[in-house]
Amino acid sequence: MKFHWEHIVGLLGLAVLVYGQYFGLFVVPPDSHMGDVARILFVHVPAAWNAFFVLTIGGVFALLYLLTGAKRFDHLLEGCLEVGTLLTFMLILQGSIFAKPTWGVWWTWDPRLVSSAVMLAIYVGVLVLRRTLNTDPTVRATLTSVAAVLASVTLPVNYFSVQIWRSMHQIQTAPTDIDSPLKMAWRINAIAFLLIAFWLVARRSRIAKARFEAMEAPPLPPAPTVEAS
Amino acid sequence: MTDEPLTPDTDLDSDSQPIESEGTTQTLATDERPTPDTDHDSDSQPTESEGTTQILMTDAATDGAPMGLAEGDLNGGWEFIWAAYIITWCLLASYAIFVTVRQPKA
Repeated sequence: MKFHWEHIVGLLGLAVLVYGQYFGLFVVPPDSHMGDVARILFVHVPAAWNAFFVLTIGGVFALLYLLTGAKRFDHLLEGCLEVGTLLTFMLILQGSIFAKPTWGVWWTWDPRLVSSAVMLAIYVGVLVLRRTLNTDPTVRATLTSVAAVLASVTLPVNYFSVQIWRSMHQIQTAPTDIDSPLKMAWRINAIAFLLIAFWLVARRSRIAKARFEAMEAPPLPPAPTVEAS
Repeated sequence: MTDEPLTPDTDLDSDSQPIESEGTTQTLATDERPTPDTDHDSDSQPTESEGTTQILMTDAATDGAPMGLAEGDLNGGWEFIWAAYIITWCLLASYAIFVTVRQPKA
């Protein structure tokens, strides 16, 4: 396998993740109210932060593709869409597991939960759209970029849902409200998720590039020359 | 999982007394016990968690708690923690394998 520069970032992310998970599971003391269950937040919150970040960057790549038409932005967009959707799915699962011991239910129709589920459904729809468009890769890239820009509307709606509507989900927490060990566990795991997400996006965009090139029509052969007799 | 609301016996002789219920231990107060007719359904009771030990506190922290819900401490629940972490690792590993296997040949 050819060595690419993103592998360094991926290996670094894996190392930070191993340490961050150990730190969050066994080093940080239990929360004063939620006890050990609060350790779920050391994977739930980093997954949420990075899902928002990756999907936001994906929206930027979509805009850049529409503005410039550069293929590399389409390849990166495909990576961001898939990794961001994976992280969104992950954070919903983690949140559901966290909700059971703390709220008493696996799921409730809370504004934050509903907006997260809608966000996941919309981004899955964008991926399905891209996958099923069996057309010229340039047209597919344009349509995907438009869909991704429209899907980006769900990001601020989801982020501010805990402030706009009455939600059981807590609002955004300021760093000054958190004790140092918990803050450290969050930050270490968030950096690990970020580095791994970077690696995944880079790897996925290489697949997207190869597929784009395979879908492009081969160049026409040169026209035969007619020699005068 | 028990769907019954918290209705401890009336003869509690201390501030906190454990009640066993299908793997869940709850310590309830004598003066601030939730009653069956609280205005939230039983599925949303924070004390139903399977395999966890919960203590409903009765001190000043519970005063003014909305809808009769008492603020309390959660003890245990490691099965939830491991589930969340293992799902995280499995999803990341699965996708990492996917993007590695699907890489175009050089």
